[in-house]
Amino acid sequence: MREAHAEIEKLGARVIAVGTGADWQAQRLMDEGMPFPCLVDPEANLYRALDIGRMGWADLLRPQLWRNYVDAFRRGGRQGRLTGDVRRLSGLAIIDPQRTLRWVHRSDTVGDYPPIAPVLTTLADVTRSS
Amino acid sequence: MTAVGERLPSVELRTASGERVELGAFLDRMLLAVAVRYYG
Repeated sequence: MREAHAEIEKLGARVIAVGTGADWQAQRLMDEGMPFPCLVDPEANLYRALDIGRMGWADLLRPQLWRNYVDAFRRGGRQGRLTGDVRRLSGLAIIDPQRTLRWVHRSDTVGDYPPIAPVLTTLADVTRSS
Repeated sequence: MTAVGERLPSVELRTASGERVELGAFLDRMLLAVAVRYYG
């Protein structure tokens, strides 16, 4: 998302990151150059509004989760300290200025993010149609 | 739960410095909200 930020802004949109983790983690991301606001959602308000769920313990055994970890590791990602709701899944949502949910991706397991190209295409489409 | 095409309810978030902020504060234009897991 960091790499696509300039293109997202060119489309007239803005980005926020929201996590259930600690405020110091959000601050550190911004201090390290994340070009958009990193917010904290300790009560999982956005997650509930978007119906982004939580992993069951059995989901830890799913091969796709471990494949995602390996892929992230190969890209240079390293597991740090887990804070907040460690079983909370992730997601992406496009919301228009009238608060209407235009598109949402709800992850199925840890690391299940859609490729950025179709997200940008969808963002361009909904921006044009609004 | 909000379905695609429906309006989101009020969503209170917090900044990294602990201030309460409503989602609407970021809706002056189209918004891509990324709900992530913070690590590290």
